[in-house]
Amino acid sequence: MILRVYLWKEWQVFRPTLIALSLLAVLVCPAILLMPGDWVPGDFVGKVTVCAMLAISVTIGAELLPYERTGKRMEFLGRLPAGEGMAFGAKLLFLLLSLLGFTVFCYLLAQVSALFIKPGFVSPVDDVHLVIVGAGIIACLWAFAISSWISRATLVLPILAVFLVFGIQPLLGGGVFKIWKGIGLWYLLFYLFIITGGAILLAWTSYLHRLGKSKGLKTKNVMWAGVCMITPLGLAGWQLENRLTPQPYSSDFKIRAAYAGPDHRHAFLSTKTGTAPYRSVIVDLETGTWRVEGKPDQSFSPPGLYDGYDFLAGQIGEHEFLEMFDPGGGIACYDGKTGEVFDFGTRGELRPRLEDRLRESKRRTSPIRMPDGQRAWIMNRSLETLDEDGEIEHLGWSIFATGRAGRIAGHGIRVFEPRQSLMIDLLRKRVYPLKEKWLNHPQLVMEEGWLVNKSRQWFLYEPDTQQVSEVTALKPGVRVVHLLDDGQLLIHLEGQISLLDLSSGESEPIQSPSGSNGTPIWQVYSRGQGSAPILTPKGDVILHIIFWDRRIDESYLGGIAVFDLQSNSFGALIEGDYRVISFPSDNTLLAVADQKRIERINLDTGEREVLFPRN
Amino acid sequence: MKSSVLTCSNLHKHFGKHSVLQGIDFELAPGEITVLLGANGTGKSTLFKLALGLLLPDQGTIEVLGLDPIKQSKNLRQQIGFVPSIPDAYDWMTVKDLFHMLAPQYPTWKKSEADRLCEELKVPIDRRFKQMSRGEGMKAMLVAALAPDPKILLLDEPFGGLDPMAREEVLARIIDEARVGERTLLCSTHDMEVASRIADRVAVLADGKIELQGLVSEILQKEAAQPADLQAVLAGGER
Repeated sequence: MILRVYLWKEWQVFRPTLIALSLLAVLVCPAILLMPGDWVPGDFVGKVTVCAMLAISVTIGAELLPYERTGKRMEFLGRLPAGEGMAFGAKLLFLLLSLLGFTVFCYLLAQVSALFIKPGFVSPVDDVHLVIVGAGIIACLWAFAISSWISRATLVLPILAVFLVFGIQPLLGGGVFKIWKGIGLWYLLFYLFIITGGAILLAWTSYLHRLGKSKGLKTKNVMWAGVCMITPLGLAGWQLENRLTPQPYSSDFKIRAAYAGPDHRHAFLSTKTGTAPYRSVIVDLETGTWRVEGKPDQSFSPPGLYDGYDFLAGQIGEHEFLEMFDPGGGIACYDGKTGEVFDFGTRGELRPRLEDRLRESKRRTSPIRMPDGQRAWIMNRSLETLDEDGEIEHLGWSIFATGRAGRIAGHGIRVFEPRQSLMIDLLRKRVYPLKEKWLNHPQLVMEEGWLVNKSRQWFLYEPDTQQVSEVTALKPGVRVVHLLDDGQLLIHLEGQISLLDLSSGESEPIQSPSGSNGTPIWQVYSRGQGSAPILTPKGDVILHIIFWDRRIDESYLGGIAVFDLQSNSFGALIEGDYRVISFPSDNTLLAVADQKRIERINLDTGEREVLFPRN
Repeated sequence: MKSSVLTCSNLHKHFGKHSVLQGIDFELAPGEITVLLGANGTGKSTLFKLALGLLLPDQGTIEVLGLDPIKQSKNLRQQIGFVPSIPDAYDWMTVKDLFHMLAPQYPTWKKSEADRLCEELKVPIDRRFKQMSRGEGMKAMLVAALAPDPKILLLDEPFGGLDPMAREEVLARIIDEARVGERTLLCSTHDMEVASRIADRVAVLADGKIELQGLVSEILQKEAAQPADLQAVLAGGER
């Protein structure tokens, strides 16, 4: 009852202000929307919400306490039985109620006005709007707090602006709002609690000081309150900083993706430590120094991967550029050579040179191979290759114009579509819709047709005549690992890798890599981009092999091995969980080891060197 | 002897370097009317604020109705009626609004008493404070202080700036109300005539201390004997 009376008192004082602001909003919102579309600010609803909260901050937040200082109102309120606490609490509650009430009113008004006048400006409820409301509450409470010790309400706005820009914004800008998704809602709420709690404490202290009752607060109590406020803030800041900094030596540190620059000097990593957000790291592989780039949960990606048109872009290769997308829509482009953000310069001047560099790097490392052994790559939303004269030939299939997903299938590219998958047959230079369901099973585009697996049986499908024939040379259950350029197949069956000539049906068993002690092979696969096998600069194939021999510690015996196409034999097994990222020379490779380290491996000697993190 | 309603013991209060109260020892007996005499700036209002729990004492103690004004402020304020030296209710308020705000805070608030007093004192209950004369405002504040039937009534120079008619009205009402039951009254003023008309006892505050205190007759006798001394104290000058 008493609280209601105090709220009524505040309402009596600020009713004219609220009515005036509401009328102003009712007039201004439609008026802005009636202007030409270009003049209406983007995120109209969000901006109206910001203005509404600012208006309340300035007209009510900054006036609630100062107006009591006229006459002897503070004394009048202070001597009533309900006391200072009730008067202060009612003011705070009234401020929050009027802030939220007026903000919701303006928000709905903006949405409804937009719906009737310019429907394009209607905004769905967005996280950004929630953040605006959070920021508005903070601003309003600090306006309230500042007004408690500034005698002139008109000074509150400039002081609040300075305070927000230099005091709160760096904390929030760097620490909370831009990354709140990454650090979790509870952290955000904790920060809001600390920041708003600070404002309320300051206002309460000033309020009591005005009443002449701050003696007790000036010493011990304020000190303890400060300690209580600052200690968790400091701890939270330390924890947040710790959480957002990659911990390469931590047991739960993982390298989720890695890209090497064209000179193999820099590696661009997406790392994750425990449950912390993803962090992007650039490592100087020569010195081992590293630095964090971008905001939490931002990752590097090769050009074209993010928007899907170069859906075969992968980690392996020499990356001239790497992109980092901002959730706000911006793109930062990093120079693969220097590790620095690339300055695009003036449009039309630097772009062509960038494209040349990008095309060249793709030509060198693309996983797509034309039947003649030439590489093909996706550039500017079309498939390109080099013709016989060394000129760029555009294989202009429109399917590259929009984002897709796909994988390499021998001399073809299988493209996944929501309703019907497609097969780009590079031999027949046609795009075939995969109408029949069974064609969606693993397949390989070959000279003789498409090799398709159905119910463990292998068939040859001729896409033009649609004839199907059983392939007897491939026993049921056999797994095709790779199609070599000479048409032979590298296959895996019953713990053994063999080389099969499909036309003759002859197969040649391949001896397992040395170091495996004749243990049967359990799985063979490739971690190449688009599921294509990894090819060394010499053209040899790198395969990941896992053996049946389960170790005591539950890990498997496995690693990578190079299959030499000249001698048709494997080199030594390089034991470990490796993800190859690039080849600095014919006989060395860079790889992510155990998802934790970047190692340089000499393929001839098997020698390994840890480049990141260094001891 | 009955226990005192208000007890100050070695009470000190200073504002910055300015020491206002410098060790006050003072008691109010129940049912008595005491007038606190003193020149402007001698600490009369400060003493009231300390009694209401609006200020913290720097040294010494103050107890009102056996309660600590700071720690038991709510309980205490519900039993005190206070009339300030100027009407300090909000300008936009009517007397009705003021009562609407005060009534829920006092369990002993008597609406009938408030209505009666308003009628007798001719307080315009629907008029805003900003539209009232000083006298009307003070009468409204007096009604607001009396409506909860307080055990102790504190009046902080209630006659300053009032026209003679309003002054008489307020004074008469105070005299009437002071005689109701066991109500104790402490009124500050620098007007000897007021003291002589309403007080049982008088205390003279000067230089932050109680210079003189006693029955009004004793003080008046003293004034008759050494008028210059007391007048000087009340004027705040050198004795």
